[in-house]
Amino acid sequence: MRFLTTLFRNLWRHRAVERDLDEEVRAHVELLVDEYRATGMEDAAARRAARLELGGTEQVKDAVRDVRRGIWLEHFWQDLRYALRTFRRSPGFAATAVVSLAVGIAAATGLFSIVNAALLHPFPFADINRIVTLGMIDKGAPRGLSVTARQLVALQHSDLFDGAFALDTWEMTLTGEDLPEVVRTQYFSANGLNVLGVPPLLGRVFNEADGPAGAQPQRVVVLTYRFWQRHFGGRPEAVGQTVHLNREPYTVIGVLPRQYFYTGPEILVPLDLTFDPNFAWSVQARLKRGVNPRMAEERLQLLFDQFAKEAPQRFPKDVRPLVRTLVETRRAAGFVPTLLLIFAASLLLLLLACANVSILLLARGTSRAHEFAVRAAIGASRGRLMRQLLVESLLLAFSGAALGVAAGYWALPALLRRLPANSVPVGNLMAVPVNVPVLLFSAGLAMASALICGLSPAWSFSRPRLMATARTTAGVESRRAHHLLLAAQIALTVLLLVGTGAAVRVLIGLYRTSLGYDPHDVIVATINLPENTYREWDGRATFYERLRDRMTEVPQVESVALATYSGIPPQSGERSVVEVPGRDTPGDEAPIVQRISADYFSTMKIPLIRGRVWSDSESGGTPHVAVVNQTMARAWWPDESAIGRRVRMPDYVKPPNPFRLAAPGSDGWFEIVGVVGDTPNVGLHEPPAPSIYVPYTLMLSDSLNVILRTSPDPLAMTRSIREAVGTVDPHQPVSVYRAEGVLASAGWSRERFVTLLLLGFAMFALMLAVVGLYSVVSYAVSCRFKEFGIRMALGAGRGRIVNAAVQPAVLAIVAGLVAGLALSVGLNKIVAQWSIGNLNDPIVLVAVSLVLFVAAMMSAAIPANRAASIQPVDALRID
Amino acid sequence: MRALLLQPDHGVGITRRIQQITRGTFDVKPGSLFPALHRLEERGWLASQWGESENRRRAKYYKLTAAGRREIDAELTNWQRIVTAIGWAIKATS
Repeated sequence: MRFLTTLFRNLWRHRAVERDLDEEVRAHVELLVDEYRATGMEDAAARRAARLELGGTEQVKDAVRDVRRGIWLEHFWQDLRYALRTFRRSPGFAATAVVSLAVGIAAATGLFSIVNAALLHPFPFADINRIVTLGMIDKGAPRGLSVTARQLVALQHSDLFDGAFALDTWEMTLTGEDLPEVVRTQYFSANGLNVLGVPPLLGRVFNEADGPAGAQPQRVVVLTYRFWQRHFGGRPEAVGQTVHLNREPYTVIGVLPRQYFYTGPEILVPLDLTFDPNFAWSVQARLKRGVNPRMAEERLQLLFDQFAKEAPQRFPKDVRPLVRTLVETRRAAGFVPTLLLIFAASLLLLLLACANVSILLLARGTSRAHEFAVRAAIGASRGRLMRQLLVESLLLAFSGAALGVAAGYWALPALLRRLPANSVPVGNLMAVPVNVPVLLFSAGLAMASALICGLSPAWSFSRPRLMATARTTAGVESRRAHHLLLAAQIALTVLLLVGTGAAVRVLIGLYRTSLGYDPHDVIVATINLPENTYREWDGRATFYERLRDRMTEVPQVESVALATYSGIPPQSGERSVVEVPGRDTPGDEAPIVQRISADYFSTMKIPLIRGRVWSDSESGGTPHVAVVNQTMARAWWPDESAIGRRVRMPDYVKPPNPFRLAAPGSDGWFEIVGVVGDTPNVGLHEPPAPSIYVPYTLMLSDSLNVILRTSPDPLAMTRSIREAVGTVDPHQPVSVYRAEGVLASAGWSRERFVTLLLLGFAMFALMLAVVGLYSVVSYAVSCRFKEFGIRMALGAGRGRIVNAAVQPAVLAIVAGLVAGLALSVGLNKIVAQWSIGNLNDPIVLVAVSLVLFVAAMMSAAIPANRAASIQPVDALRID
Repeated sequence: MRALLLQPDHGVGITRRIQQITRGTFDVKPGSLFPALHRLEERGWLASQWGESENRRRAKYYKLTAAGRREIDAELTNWQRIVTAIGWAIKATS
């Protein structure tokens, strides 16, 4: 309390406090005078003695002021106003410094937002750490889990969970509008949204009463914010309206807030929890308070043993439960290390910006040194001068941070759009782009950068050497700090440039990877049959056949092929067991099976290596025909030809699920008639796996991809393709995309994201280095203006002057360059684990050195030229 | 602060008193005295008021507050402890 009252008094009743002090000191003098007079001194002598004992009146008063409470606040305020005035006098400097820091802080803050979203706060669900996904461990390897409705009920009754729900994603067809549309749909068992704790924005979410286990669920739908905006223009009347999905009316009962299911599904409907044991789904659950995943795993074992007895086909022997939190599964995703790496790069960038501002601050030395010498001479303490300088850099840093956060806010959506799909859950982030942790982080950054960039100037200026400033040519040692900083800046810039170069090389390498097919001008039309349509093999086969025929008639279509799975490498088919009579099959994993039409290879331009591809008439006959890729031919029949071999595929006798229709008379035996070239089928970075191609007609799925090779500008054809599908079945939705898009999202998007960001960082770092160098050399020239003038008057050539002006800077550059290269090579091992390329690549190292050296020379040339054009007369006349 | 134990006093009086107590060892200059007085006042250990000196001059008088007295006791105890401890230490080593 007393603290506050004195603080208040000192700050707000400033004048009264000062008057009191003034009087007190004066009274003190009078008392002293009286005392001396009492010892018999003359009046004047007593006064003199009194003043001698006191010291200076003002000094005493100042000493008192310095111990007052709140004095720092007052000083801070003075310093702040003073700093503002200084910056107003040199706006160019202030703008450069603020912008440098702003870009650095914006980059670091933006990436921190993403890291924060990815690692610390990925989902908006309440009490997120208790939400787990259930899986199983089979022979040491984690596997997905699917349970039937009965098993789900058993799990729900376990005392481990507050709730457990089944979930599934599928597509529904929005009908009843001019063109049918595919809508990504999230199915939850009806308790799901309540277990997750998802609140409605409007209306309500579905609950257990909307879909009890074993009964048909209500036809109700909950909309995501996005779908609501897109389809209902964000109108609240949407709740209660009817939409037609798969030709059935569904009532809209609610809309979700923006951050829920930001990516992925567009609508949510209750799952049909039928007790039919042929249906099974994956499970998520909310752990009870106090139950951790390890405990849950232990205590689920009993239940899993029982499941294994009931359903041996889905639960292998000796299965163990696997319980992982939702956050954990996200963290395991491969993008996190890359993200951390870029985050580190952004911090490096900020460090560079700080170094640069530091250099700028130092380079203002000429004018400042004089000012500080004067202030020190009239009694400012060193601490006070340092504080002044730190306040200046704080002001710079916080202006930079404010600008940076604003810029980050503005640029974040663009950044997020470029994130590889499904790499980071961005729902939270999009809904609340600037949140408390992020703001705290950027304030911390501003603080840290103020200290980093302010410390070195504060140190060197607060110790003004009166003699040195009295001379008008500055000493050598004052510039040593600049060159050290410059070298450090160059070294870090080199590191950033090398990292970027390595990433660019990786990207170029990816573009050059042999794909084994030609993705240009290929588009894919995906057909997903609405539920309960074309349920017999004959009808479905005819429909697919007619679709293909109709597509070939579309103008500009050169050729058409059908594939059950995407068919655009690196997307591929599914693994399925292939048996060779009388021997074991090589490899741990089953080969990848793709179901295609015979013209697939010619449409994709995948070369036929040996043998032949089947003809249309053969595709339904027995024995069935098949084609394998080179890898399979080599791995399965190393010493003989694959052609003519017979294999058996048990899945083709009886389909594993009701959505597939096997051709009548299918016996599962295949004869290999040809070998085709490899295409990546596991991932763009992985070597191809063995793969076998069979006619699609043998087993018709409820989804089909029509692959079309067309003339350039394939997207312009979307409309005509939709219309072509419409003439065959007006209720059939179709989505069209480009093969190159598949490539981008499959493997290139991560590298592209990394490379783009790093390129931006590197450009900025280079710019900073140029600005820093320019100001160092300019400063050196202005410091030695007089010296150069004298030397020229004494007959020194221009070459020598230029040499003298730039030599220290060039030395600093070379030192920085060498240090940076050494740093890159040294860090290579650490960075290599995160796979963005090789920092040790000689081409990159040489290129970076060249770029940096040329940029450095160019930025030093301007001030050097000024040094060379000094007129000796001007230089001598300057004082 | 001890200089003020007996009675309230003004700046010059305090200086003289300190000289007297310490038998001339410490000569407190106003440059140190005033900041010290103000700091003690802000902490609540001293209170000040304007009064009239012996020879009828206006002067600012400082006096100990109750909190100040307690503080002196505490400091003295502490100081005694340190002195004793140092005394032991010196005896032990010599």
